Amino acid sequence: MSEMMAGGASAAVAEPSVLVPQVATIRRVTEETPDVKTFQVVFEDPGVTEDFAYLPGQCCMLSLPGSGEAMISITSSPTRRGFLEFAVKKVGIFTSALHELEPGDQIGVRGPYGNHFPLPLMEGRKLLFVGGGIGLAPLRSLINYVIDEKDRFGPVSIIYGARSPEDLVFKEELFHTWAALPHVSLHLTVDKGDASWEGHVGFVPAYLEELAPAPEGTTVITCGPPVMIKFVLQALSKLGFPPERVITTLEMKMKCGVGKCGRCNIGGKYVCVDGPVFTAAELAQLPAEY
Amino acid sequence: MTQYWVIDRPRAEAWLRGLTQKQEVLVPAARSGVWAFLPLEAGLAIGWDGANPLLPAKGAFFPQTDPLFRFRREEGKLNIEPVAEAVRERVLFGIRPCDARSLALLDKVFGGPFADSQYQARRAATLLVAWACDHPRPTCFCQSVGVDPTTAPEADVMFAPLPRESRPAQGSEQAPHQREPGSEMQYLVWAQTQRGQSWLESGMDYLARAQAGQVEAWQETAAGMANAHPLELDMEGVTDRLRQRFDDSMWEELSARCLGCGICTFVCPTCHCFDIADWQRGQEGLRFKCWDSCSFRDFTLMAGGHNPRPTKKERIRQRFLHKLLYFVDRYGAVACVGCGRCVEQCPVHLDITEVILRVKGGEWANV
Repeated sequence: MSEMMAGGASAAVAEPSVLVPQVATIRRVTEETPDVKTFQVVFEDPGVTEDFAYLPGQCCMLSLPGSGEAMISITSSPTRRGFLEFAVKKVGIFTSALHELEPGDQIGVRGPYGNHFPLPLMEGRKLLFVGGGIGLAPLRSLINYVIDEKDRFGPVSIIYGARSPEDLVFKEELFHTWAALPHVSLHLTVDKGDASWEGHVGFVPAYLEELAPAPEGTTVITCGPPVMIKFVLQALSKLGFPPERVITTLEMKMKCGVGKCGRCNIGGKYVCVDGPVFTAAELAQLPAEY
Repeated sequence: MTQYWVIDRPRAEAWLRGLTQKQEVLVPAARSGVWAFLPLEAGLAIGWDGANPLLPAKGAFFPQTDPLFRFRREEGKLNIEPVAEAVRERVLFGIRPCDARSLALLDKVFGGPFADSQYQARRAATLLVAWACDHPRPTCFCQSVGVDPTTAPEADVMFAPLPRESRPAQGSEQAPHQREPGSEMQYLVWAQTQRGQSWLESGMDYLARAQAGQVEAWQETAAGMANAHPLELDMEGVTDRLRQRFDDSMWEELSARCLGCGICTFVCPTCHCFDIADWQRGQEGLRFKCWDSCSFRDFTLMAGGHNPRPTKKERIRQRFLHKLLYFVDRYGAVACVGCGRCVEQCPVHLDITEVILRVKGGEWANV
């Protein structure tokens, strides 16, 4: 440095990149299904936890340097402070490496990123959640939010399905916590039952049509595999739900998460900053490239 | 009132080489036959008469690889140490108006919310000295996308070649090494910013006041450039027409030719898509940004196997719509500066000017 300064040209040190994550420690790992684990994490720096403000629907980039990084929705509710939770399905290199970790291990976290579920479209209204598989993860943040702030919202219905009974995530909440709440009604289904399953069998969109909830005064929030979302949106349209009151959240490959790296766009919208939450009406304006 | 100065090539060369004693000076030059903006050093010839470098100026601010942080993982513990890059003041000399415009476009991407601190620090530390163009290449179409080849509003200082009898003809394909040494060449020089003004003041030993007629001589050359481009496109309405042509058969047709090599994106001065990758040895490593390309299959391939742009058709469409439609919607400008590098470099002649012509309903006769 002194040599450079002696030359006469001044030097400035660039601020660290916004792509540098904070270090966080895994506090608890919950095995939800054979390939889904929920990680509860706290930032190493308590000030970061303190200042970390988010709303349901937002996401974080989780990092395991050496194994990569992935955008994961925050599944905890901001009404429950002091930690963040991420439910992660094991699908690739990064998520497989993450699944190897145990309480006490550290990861990188940056965020929160993206928009959130539009609360004004939900306040004072009945809420219908339609989820499939790991798609319940972003919905869980909002479900616990409306449960904790129940005076602001109407009654809650949840239609949720998975491939099999063992693939249902958040079983503790599905079968105990949420099931015990009088203003929450739960409708579970599986694609394929097993010996112990006494509930509904069938795909989520078909079950939705069978239950035929009334659209009046209701806002729908749906998330699941792309093909499920597609058929759920069709079913909701058939049932008379206006697309302005149907909300979904999307997944795309992301690298930066901050609208720069250029890959998560659908048409002119970047899912990382303009999404991941869109109404069905907004989605209808975009090319079907997702 | 703009103050004009004149400098001849040997003096300019002496000035720039002198500056390298205390700071980095990037100049157009060739290394191993590849033209780029390279740090001036002893033995490196400044490409005074060369064409616009193959590798655009973006690399000086958005380098091919850019370290973010060092990491160490040991027994579950993670240590992260951000790269603290010391950015020195430097001069980028010889940038053309097309590349200068590209920096204004990249500023929109790498500024704003979640600004890229490294890009911005490099931009802030760099004095831009632009060269006015006086001989377009056959693949140049900057004027069609609103760039004036004779002036770069983004630059701190302009260098404009004063006309001489023995200038090569416009559009000349003559290689630099076949040209005359050019030591008699003179440049009209003027500052466009306060910073540029200060820089010129520091170079008064080399500069002379412009003589009567020299400014007019350049203005005449500049006026002659108004219609000098062999490639002229009508951009009117292109963006709005593309809005209606997402499902057009044109994309399929064009993609049949595409090799998916990505050269168009790497030589493009406005292409800015990047990847983030890790380099690890043992328990330590480095995370870095690096150039990526929408032409590649795994650009959008998700870990679970789903790919929203599974074939070359979707990827070609993404490239052209990003430049001509999405970027316009997001940042209010077409993300093409008409430098013609992609037109020249594409091994299968997949040509953005063809796309524009076809969108306008015109015939494409070049295939």
